[in-house]
Amino acid sequence: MQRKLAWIVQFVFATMLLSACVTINIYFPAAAAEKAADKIIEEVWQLEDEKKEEKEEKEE
Amino acid sequence: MFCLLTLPASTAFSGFALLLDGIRHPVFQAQSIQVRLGDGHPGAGQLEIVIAEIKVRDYVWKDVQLSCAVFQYKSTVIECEDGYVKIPELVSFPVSLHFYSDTQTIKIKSNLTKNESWTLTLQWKGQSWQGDVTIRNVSLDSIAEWLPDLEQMPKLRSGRVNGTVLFSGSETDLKSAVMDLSIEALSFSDQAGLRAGENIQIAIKAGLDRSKHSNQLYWHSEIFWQQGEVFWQPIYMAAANHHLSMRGVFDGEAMHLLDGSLMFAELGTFQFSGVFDISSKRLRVFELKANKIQLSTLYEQVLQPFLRDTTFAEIEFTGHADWTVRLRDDAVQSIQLDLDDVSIVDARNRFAFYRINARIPWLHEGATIVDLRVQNGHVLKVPLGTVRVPLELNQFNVFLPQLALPVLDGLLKLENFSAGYTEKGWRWKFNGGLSPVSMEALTDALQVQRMHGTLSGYIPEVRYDGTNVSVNGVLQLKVFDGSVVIHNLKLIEPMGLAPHLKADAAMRNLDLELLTGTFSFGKMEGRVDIDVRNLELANWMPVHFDAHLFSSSGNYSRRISQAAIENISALGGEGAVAAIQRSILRFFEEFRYAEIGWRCKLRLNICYMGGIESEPLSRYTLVKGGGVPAITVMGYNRVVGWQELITRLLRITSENEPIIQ
Amino acid sequence: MNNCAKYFLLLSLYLLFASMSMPGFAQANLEVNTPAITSIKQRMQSRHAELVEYYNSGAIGLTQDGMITVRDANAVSLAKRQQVNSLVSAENQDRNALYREIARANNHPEWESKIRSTFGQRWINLARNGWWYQSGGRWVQK
Repeated sequence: MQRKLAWIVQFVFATMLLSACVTINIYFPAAAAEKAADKIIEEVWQLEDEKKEEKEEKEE
Repeated sequence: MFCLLTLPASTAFSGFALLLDGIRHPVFQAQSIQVRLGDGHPGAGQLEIVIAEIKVRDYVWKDVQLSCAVFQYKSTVIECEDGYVKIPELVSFPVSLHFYSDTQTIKIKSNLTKNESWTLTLQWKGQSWQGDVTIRNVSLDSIAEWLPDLEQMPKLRSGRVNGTVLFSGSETDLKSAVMDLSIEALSFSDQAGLRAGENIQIAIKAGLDRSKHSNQLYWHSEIFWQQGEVFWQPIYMAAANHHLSMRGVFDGEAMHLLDGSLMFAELGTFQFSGVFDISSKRLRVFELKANKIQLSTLYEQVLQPFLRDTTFAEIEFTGHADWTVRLRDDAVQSIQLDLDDVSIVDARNRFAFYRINARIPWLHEGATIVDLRVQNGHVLKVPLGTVRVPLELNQFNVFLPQLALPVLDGLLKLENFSAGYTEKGWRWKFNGGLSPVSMEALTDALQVQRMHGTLSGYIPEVRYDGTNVSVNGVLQLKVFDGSVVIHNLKLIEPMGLAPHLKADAAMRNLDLELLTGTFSFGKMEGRVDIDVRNLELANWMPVHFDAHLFSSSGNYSRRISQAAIENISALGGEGAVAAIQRSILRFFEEFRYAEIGWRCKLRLNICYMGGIESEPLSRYTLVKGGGVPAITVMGYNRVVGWQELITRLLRITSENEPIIQ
Repeated sequence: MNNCAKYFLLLSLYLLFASMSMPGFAQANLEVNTPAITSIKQRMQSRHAELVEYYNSGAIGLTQDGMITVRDANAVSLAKRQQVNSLVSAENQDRNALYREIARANNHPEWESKIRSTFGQRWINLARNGWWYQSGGRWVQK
């Protein structure tokens, strides 16, 4: 009986942990999102090319 | 005729001043009139008139001033030169006035600037009068000041008018008028530049005649748009001999438009007529007829800007359309739309329908039947055959009891198709079935690896809820001598920018020899089952799934060629291939196996691989040997980039049989 | 029974561990390399060549919610105003799709609005000098 009780306690504990995990997962990775955004924007606006062009112009 | 109420006059030194309390006339009223005549040039006087208020019908002007620097009074002529008319906050312009008492003519001329002038001549005889106005190069700026200054209304920026107006009347009624005006260099724009026109040239010819017996006014007008361009968000149009002509009657209560026609070059002609009730401000009846409208121009100039956020944002629209729209009491009563050899082709190649011919009637109340034929077309690369669609229309609902749509060599049967327009857009659903389509034809059409077999299915319900298409039921394919069942099929935004597809698939008893032969993988004999769960395609490329390939149960020949083994090993990296090639095993062409298995869990571009065993170990078995000669292929690499895996597969299948040294 | 309980405890610990490590993993990187995102990105890239002159002239500007809008149509000839409208509309459709696809690719569709606002800031931050952007309901030139 006691073992069964321990089982239930553990089950409840585990469920609580699980639900806690869920809340952790919703956390928005702001820094990563910013990094990803910068990468995409640089590609779409071709900012890398511009920087290169600027450098080349300076060298000339 | 004038009725002077009081006339207290007083003479003054070197001239005189006159004060009138008021003048009343059926046409106008004037109050508090001061007339001052003084000394001026030799042989002439100086006149100044100030009227506190003039009222003509509903118009009221206050503090109207007229001054004449040179004023002469002769027996038959009154002359006013170097004069000036000023109505505060309205107009002020130089003027010269001549009044001929013998012919009862008044002539007013105003030279606004060197090139700008207008002349008004008015002549009367008893109760009738006539006159003309000649306008030369008058700038519209001065008129712009008169117009109400509303923020949402575009402002007149420039423009010049030339032309003449002739008119005649009797007492207070206008009898006839003829107008011939041209407007040049007209520009207007609102603050944001969303409603603007530039360098516009228009010619206006109009006329007005009052019938002799009844109190009806017959009018007609013609407007030619000769030059310039207009952007009226979101439509842009440039002048190209566009032409509007109208003819009608005004009877005091309603404006009857007897006959109107609007001709747009390159688009077609619209004809319209109607009755507008003045007191209730309602359109009593209205009819619009469009004949042989060029749909390509209609789409580019008119429709496209409105369809920008829809599936039809970038299409090629050709053919002609005729339509008739009837309105009664501000509401559309009926529409008849006829399409003549119309083709709709999506610029992104998602769909195309060629040679559509249709008669589409629509009634405000009651049901109608549409007769629509499509010669051919394609949707998402799948070709469709000739189809006749007998649609039932009932207000905003569409119903189609039955339709057989040829798809490749099969037939898609639609039953109980119903669509309705709601606030959230169109929704539709149908049930039906697909009679066998050969996989050869389908794979050729989709431009993918050719496969043999058939595709068929029974579809209890397909439903579109505004964004997603979901299929309740199963689609069945018969390929590689086995069966494929697809269920939980769902298309998210199928015509959107990034269509998603979700489905589960279960494949049973596929013939490995056919499968490997098709993809030039290296010969394998046997049968496999493949389960693909939680499949998700984004833009028709897989982004998520749980796949499991395993040997089918039953007795069959289980053999694997060396080429296939090398290819399987090569999938895990290059090392294993070299190992086999160096070993004694290379002398055998074929091996026996007991079981094969492969698992791939695709998550965020990474395939987490596994083999026959379900438990995760550091290595996994892909091919388990059995019999003589037997071979076992192990995999060590559990994590492989999906793109890398695809590249390897493509390399293997394109190289055909690898060379065995 | 006891074994079973032990196993369950282990399992729950494992789950806890696995999920704890998740945010760390997510923090490191956001998935932006799906086929859908790539094709949207390519479309936007080729459109940018057409849009850039209108950014420069101030005809269009960046909004705070990661979109673009017509700021001053007067900077564009009448005949091209319609084209600017179409470009803006197509660009915004792609931007909407981009934010939604990034959220979907990372298995968090509910992140869409946060991804949008992050992009909103970054577009403005990386904008060239002379371009216009909205700030607190007003237009500001960078």
